[in-house]
Amino acid sequence: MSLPPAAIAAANPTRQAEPRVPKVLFVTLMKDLRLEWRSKDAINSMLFFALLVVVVFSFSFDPTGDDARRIAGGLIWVAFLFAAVVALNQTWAREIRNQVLDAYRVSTAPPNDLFLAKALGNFLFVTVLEVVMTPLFVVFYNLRVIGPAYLLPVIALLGTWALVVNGTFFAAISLRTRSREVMLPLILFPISIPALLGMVEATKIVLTGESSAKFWIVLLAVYDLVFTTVCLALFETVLNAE
Amino acid sequence: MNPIPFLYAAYIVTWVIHGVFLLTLVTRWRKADRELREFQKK
Amino acid sequence: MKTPVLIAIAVVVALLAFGLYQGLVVAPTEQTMGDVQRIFYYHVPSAWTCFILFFINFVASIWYLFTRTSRSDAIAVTTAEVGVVFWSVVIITGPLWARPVWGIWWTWDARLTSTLVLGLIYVSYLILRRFSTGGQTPILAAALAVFGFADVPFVYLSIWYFRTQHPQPVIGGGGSLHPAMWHALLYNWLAFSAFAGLLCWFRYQLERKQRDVEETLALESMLEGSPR
Repeated sequence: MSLPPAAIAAANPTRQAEPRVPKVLFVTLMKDLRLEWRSKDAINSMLFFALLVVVVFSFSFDPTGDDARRIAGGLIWVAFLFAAVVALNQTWAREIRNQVLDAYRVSTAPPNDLFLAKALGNFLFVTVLEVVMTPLFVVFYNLRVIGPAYLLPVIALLGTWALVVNGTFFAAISLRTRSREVMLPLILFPISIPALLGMVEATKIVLTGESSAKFWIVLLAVYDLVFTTVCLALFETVLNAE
Repeated sequence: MNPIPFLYAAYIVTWVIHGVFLLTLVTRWRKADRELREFQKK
Repeated sequence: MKTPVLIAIAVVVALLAFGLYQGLVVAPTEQTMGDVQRIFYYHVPSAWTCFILFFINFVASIWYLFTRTSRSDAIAVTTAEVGVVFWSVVIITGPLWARPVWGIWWTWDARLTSTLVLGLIYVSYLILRRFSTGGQTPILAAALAVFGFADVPFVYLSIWYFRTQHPQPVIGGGGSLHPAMWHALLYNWLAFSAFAGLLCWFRYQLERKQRDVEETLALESMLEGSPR
């Protein structure tokens, strides 16, 4: 457990004051975005993966039938889920390679800043993916939105955050396991089932215009709130687990 | 279809599951015992 | 084995035998489903016992996160494992009941589906424990246990709502129970809870022994100065 900042400051009078809360978050996030922009590692693999899923699914389910609108919600979110796992698996890869996590542990930077920076980074990557993939889905599956279309970005935001916040946390947990890349989806998927059900159902309801998606949207929002809190409460413990 | 075999199957399966679990407990216990004895021999 | 343990085993076996008698003989035959309904007397108590065990796992995990004692972690892994054993009983007896009554093995009904997801969470917990390297296993597992338990209300709520939108046959049905059926149910619950307690005790002893082995191994390599 890290010492309270006041104790550190008292013990080291010459040490600089603890970095201001938003600064560490911002700096880490910008660093990740810049590195990703240069290499485009995550984005490229995610895009390719999602595209593959779309094409393979279109062989299994007739994408042009009348039912397309009903199953499209599920297909889209499965594609995004798999692509998100690709992104999540490399969340901490850079930090591990360069022993950055050890540096974080001994620094006075708040661990939650690191977590939020990583989660926001992943969130942005997956959102970019979704923005790129959605027109492809509309084209491949001949989608037309019958219900309130403005709800779709809301569902996408809430759903993506649900996957990414837990995924970033579990990626940190799976760092200390064998078969790291398999462990992440293995522990992420069961816990995400309520959120996945929410995303898929809400999307389907909005596409088909059948009923109200309000329950699912509220469920997703509460899920996001609860699990963001749990992640922030436990991240420092997991980071310092040694 | 005659439902009664399902009744017996359910009850039997329950005890098979518990029996297998107890078996794994015994196996793991014996293995731990063996390892401890090997250490004590050294 | 020591005498108190043997007595406990005898008591548990007696309770289970009595529960079996209650379930198969004493309880009246159900009107619509017939004798196959008696699976209920094994299916439901196993489910309740499973939930209690997972709850104890949650409490033990929180306790571990606050106190970092070996005992709380041992209780956590014990209750998770025994809970998964009871969960498999629920998941298998459910379809065995559904098939003759509804003609299909799995109806994706709310309760059974939620229980399936619940079990998947704890199976993933056990797999994390198995695959985790190094000494951080208890902390990581405890963190996952908190997530898992926090998820439980979401699991049940979301699947329940999903099913009210897309109704399916319900395994176990609603309706009130004849008092003799209640007795059979509660006796079996008592018996299976006692049995679960016994299983947990055995598993806990095994856990302690395995930790002894690990400590001896660690001590050996420390003293010898070479890894084994």
